[in-house]
Parts: sequence; structure tokens; C-alpha cells
Amino acid sequence: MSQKTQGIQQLLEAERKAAEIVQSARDYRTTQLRAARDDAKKLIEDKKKEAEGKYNSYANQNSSGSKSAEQQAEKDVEDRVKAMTAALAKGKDPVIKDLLAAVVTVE
Amino acid sequence: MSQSRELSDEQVGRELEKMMAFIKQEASEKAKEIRLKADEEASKEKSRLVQEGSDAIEADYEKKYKSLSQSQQIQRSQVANKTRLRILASQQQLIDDLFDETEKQLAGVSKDKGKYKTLLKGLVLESVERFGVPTLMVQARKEDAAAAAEAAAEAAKEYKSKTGKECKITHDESTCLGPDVYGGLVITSGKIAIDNTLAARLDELRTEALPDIREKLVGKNINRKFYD
Repeated sequence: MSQKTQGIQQLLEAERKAAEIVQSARDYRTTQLRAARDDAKKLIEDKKKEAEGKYNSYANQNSSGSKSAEQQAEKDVEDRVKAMTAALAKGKDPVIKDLLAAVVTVE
Repeated sequence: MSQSRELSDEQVGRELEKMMAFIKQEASEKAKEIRLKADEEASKEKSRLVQEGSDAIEADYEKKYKSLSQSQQIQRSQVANKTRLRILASQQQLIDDLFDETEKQLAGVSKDKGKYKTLLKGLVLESVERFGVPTLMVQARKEDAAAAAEAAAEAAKEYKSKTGKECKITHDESTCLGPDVYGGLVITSGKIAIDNTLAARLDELRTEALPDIREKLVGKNINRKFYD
């Protein structure tokens, strides 16, 4: 091999290696970006789960609260109906008398 | 290799070395820059995506909480409405029962002959005054025919003595009122009729007497404003 060609070969080899070094850096960039996206995705997933968890426990609390309110309302209705029925049973006779009197009285 | 070329070989060699080192150096620096930028970009991208994601989640859940609160409000008001309606329905039922019981006792009214006759006369008189017309017809139950005719005559007499005006009140024998009116009369002038049957009079009270009934059963209503 002449010196010239040997020299050129060496330079070509150096260029080749240099290109490898740069390419490796570019691959690193690609990998890093992909990793960043994957990490971000995972973090977002975690946040979502946390938010969902909070929301669900809030919703459950409230539904059990409203159930007990409904039961209370039910009880209130029953109590009032009982009270009305009792008041009527107790006081109806004079009321009926008065009604009949109104029917048969002409001014 | 000739001796005369050794020095220039060395020189060439060194030049080559220098060039190769330069190529390598350039590549390393470029690679270093690329890696540095890559770290920076990746970190920025990660932050950006996470922020974006967080904001989306926040907006999403804000909507969810709002919609939940709305449906809770709706539910609360539905329960309140249902409760109110049930109570009103119960009240109405109790009042209806009360009136049904009262109605049963209407049958006994016509048994006291004396009082009944007075009542019939009063009903006719009231109608004469309301109609203001001198000719009227009176309808009654079959069993009240005689009492009705008598009431008509008495009423006409009393009207004349009170107002000096004549009026002709006759018992309409062609029409008989059914037994479900329990008594009383229907007074007509042409096509207009005043229903003064006992059943009708009680019916009128179903609405008119409610405030009174309420007061008697549960006491005065502190919220009531009108007492006309």
C-alpha cells in the first residue's frame, strides 16, 4: 500500500468513527425524549388515579349522607301524617257538628 | 521505504495524526452538545407534558364535581317536593274522610220535621232574594214533595210581608231529586238553577271551610295574612 492510500484509509476510518460518535449522541437524544414521554405518561396516570380516588371517596361520602337525609325525610313525613291523623281523630266531632250546622243554617 | 523519505514520512504521519485528532475532537464536541441539548429538551418536554396532563385532569374533575353537586341539588329538591306532596295528599285524604263522615249524618237532618221545614223555607227565601225574579220553581225529593210545596207557599208569604212584592213559587212535580242529595231543594228560574240540596251545600264547604277546619284542628296559622 502506498503511503498516500494508507493515509487516506486512516482518515476515512477516523471520519467513520467520528460519525459513529455523533450518531450515538443522536440515538441518545431519541432515547431520552422517548423516556421523557413515557415518564410523563406514567406521572399523569398516577395523578389521574389520585384524582379519581379523591373524587370517588367524596362521592361516596355524599351519597351516604343523602341517603340518611332521605331516611330522615321519610320519618318526618310519617310523623307528620301520624300527628295529623291524631289531631283529626281527636277534634273531628265538633268540626262535624259545625259543618252540619252550616249546612242547615240559612242567614 | 527510502531513507530520504523518512523525515517527510514523519511529518506526514504527524499531520495525519493531527487531522485524525481534529476529526475526533470535532465529533466529540458535537456529540457532547447534542447530548446536553438532548437532556435539556427531554426535561422540558417531560415538564410540558406533565403540566398539560395535570391541567386536563383538573379541568376534567372540576366538571365532574360540578355535575355531581348539581345532581345532588336536584335530588334534594326532588325529595323535598315528594315529601311535600305526600303530606298534602295525606291532608286531603283526612279532610275527605272527615267530609264523608259528615255526609253520612246528612240523612238525619230531614228526620226532624219541624226544623227541616224551617230549613226548606229558609232555602227558598234565600234563593228568591238571590234571583230577584218573581217566578220560581222548586224541585225536591219524592218524599219531600209536600214539605216543599208548603215551604214554597210560606216563603212567598214571608217575602210579600217583608218586601211587599209578589212572587210565585211553585213545586215542580215533574222533576224529582235523587236520594243522594239527602234533602234540601233546587230552585230554578228558567234555565238557571240554585242547588240548595244538602249534599251540594256540604260540597261547597269542602273548600270554603278548610281554613276554619284547620284552625279548629291545629290552631291558628301564624303565617296567614288574609282574613277577609
